[in-house]
Amino acid sequence: MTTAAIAVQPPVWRRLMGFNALTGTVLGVGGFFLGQWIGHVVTTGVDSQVGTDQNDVALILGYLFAVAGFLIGLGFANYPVQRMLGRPAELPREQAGGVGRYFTLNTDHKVVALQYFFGVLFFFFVGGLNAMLIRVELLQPTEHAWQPGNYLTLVGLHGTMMIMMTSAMMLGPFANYLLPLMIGARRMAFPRIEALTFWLVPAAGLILLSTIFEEGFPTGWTGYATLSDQAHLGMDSYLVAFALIAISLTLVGLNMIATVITLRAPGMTWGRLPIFVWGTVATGILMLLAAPVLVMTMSMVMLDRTVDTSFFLAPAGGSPYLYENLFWFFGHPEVYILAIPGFAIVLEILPVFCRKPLWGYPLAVAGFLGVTLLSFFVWQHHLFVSGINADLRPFYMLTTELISIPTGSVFLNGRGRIWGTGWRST
Amino acid sequence: MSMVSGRDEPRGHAIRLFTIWGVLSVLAVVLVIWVLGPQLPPGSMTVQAHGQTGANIVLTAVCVPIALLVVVFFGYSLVAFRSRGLAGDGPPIHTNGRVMMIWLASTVVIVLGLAIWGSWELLPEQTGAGGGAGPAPIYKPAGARAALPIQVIGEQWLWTFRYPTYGGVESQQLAIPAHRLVAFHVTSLDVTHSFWAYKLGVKADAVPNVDNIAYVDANDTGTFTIRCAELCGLWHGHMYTTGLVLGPSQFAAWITKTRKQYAFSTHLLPPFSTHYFPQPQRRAG
Amino acid sequence: MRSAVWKLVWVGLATAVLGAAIGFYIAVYLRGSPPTVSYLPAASSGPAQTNVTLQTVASVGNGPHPDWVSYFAQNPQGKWVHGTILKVPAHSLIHVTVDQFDGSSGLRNPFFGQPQGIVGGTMTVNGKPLRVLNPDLASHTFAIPDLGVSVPLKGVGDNAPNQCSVAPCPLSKTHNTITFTFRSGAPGTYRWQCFVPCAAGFIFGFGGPMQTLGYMDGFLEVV
Repeated sequence: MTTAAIAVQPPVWRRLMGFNALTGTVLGVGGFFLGQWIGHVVTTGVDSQVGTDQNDVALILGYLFAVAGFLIGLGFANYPVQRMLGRPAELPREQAGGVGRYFTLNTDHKVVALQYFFGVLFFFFVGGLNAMLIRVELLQPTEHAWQPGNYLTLVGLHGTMMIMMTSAMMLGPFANYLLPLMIGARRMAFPRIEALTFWLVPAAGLILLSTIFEEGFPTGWTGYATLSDQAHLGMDSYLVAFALIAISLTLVGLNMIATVITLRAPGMTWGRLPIFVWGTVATGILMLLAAPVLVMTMSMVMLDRTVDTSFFLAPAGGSPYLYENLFWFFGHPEVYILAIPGFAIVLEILPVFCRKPLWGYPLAVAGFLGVTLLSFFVWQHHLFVSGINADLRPFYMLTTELISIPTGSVFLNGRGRIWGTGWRST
Repeated sequence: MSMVSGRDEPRGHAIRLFTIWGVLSVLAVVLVIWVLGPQLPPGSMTVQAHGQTGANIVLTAVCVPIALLVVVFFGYSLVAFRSRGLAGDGPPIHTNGRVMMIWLASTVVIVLGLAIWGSWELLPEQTGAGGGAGPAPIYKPAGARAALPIQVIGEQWLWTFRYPTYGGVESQQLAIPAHRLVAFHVTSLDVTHSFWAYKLGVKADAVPNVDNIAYVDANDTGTFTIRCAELCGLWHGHMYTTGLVLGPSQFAAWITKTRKQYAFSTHLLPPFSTHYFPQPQRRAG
Repeated sequence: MRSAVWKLVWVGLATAVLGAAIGFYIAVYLRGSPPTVSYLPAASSGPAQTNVTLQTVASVGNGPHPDWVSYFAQNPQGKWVHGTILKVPAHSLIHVTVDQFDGSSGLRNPFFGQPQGIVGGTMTVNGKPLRVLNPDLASHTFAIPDLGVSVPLKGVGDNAPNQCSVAPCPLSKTHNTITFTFRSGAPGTYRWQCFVPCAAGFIFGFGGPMQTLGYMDGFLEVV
């Protein structure tokens, strides 16, 4: 693989016309209108789409074409097209410094990490704003600030934005930056995919926020089955955004695991890996195995809403329980995706201030891997009173109790480290 | 306090730490069982609620010492092991196999103990759980055959209640008799709702085409709140009503009055069924 | 120095855009609500009662959702308003007249075929008193669950001539007139909704207009 030398930067106006976020936005908007037009053409005469004044097909196609346009505008199609035309494989030219490179497809892992950091932080604040607006409504027991439909959308937006963004919050910025450094690699295993996982995040976030132009969605962040089939047009924003984030999560997990397996420096054996790397591997496994389920679940709801399938409609042979089980099969590993990197980071920081290496390293690794394995066996504890058959309750109670053993052992590591040391705070 | 420690310094710290933890734990457990316990939800209005309150007390009493262990440990370590000056480096402790084994063993014992105790509590000889247990609950309280069936119908956005053994009358007000086992058959006509009468210790999802059964045996007369606990659309927060627990003769009078009040609508209702296909499924045009 | 000035300009611009976006979000989207129609009587108008006139139409005809069913309210000046927030006085008798222009969809739960919570337990349909309505003939209901009020509204037959299709509908088109009276109690805000799955094309007939304030849902503000 050849890399060209760093070139002198062309003038600003020239750079604005290349493949970057601005071009991506323009093509994205164009793609949105193209997709909507195609959707309207395809559904002429279909009463459930046209007669109801909400054309789900048009909106979903609009969003998908918008994302495609956005990614093409950023330059993600360049490499596949070039290879199809027979050009040799090469990474993009390294760009010189400056703020501009943060708005492009950049394969430098540190740049991607910083892009992630600011992007995720922005949407985190938006979610936080929604939380404060929820509190405004809750100042009095009866409706006084926002109408009930808008309030439900606020609740849904807050929850979804937080979950979507915080899933990426730990691994996105921190692992992308630190993982190659910690294992002695020069880059992540798949740099272009790394950049893709970032750029899907603002795309998904903006699609989610656009729900306010379609009267919002009433289901909250869990998007439960039959109500999500029935809901307003704004529901499609949630479905597409969450599916995009799930694709991003899957690819992050893939990237992390592949990097640690293949790009460790010589002599960096598995037993010498920093604990943050182990935490990232555990989280990566969770993402890789659980997030695809969410993509399919959201797709099934979209199919129910557009082409009249009945995955979740009871009278036609479907079942809301299917949605609940599929969703929580993702939803439970999701909470460990949020927690494990946090544990790993604390276990990295404590030894620094205690000036001693991590206490009980094998136990910590076992803890992370144990949590990862067990988290796939507990999801029905979200469904205890849902009316599913109750014979499995003791089993899920047992696995839910068991998962606290590896979690507790991780805390033991922290305690062991701080015992007897002279810790400093500076 | 010198940080260049000899053999007994850590032991002294350990004794001090566990003494502090022990005293605090005993105090906390006493407070949990006797002061906090009676206040814990859901209260004692029904046998199931009483059992759930008892379970909450046991779980809290087990968890508080464990939480205290972590908090006291960190608090003590932060105070006692702070570095004093440049010479303040602690001993090179990397691992302690014995501590790890003791910790793992004790957590396994606590956790498995709780799981076994929890499963035992589900048995009908105990209190059972008040939650919805599906169409064929495997844990049925004694006398389940003679339970009074009350169908709870959730629709967007209202609760109605049907009494199949009283002529299938449907009412917007729920009343249950005290000291008699009641079987709620919770179902829905459209989307997923959840019948949550927390003082009764009942939470059962109302799912279309599913009969979700929850058993309740009330100890006292009184009133209780019913809310919907599963997001079901615009007025989800308004699916709120109040139920009554009445003495046996009061209940008989109430049901007679209700049958008379709703006489006209009872003629219109379909025959009682454990679930109703929402009709029509999709309206066109 | 020039780059410092540029940075200040960019930051200022970004803050202004962000502030405007948040302001738009709160003021336009979140605070948006259908108009309120006030039926509060003048100070001295005899015994505590007031008249409310509503109509239900099969499709609104204009606006963001021209195909949706909707309620309309006639304000005391006689103008039809596309609003569902009704303001009435407390502790009064509310006489409601509904001109029903829409076809029948049928009640999901036939329980609502019997009007409840109204004075005398009887509603008047086209001048004739009625104690119970065939559930299949219901087109909409006017229900205030917190006050125990629910009244089924009879639908216009599918084959009736001269049907109105675009709101507001004049009385010359085929319709049913339903009147009933209920007592407004203590002051408060009570929700009201329709219980017939009348949202054409939506799953279980309860999507779209059935879940949107200003169409088939509203508030009764009792002051």
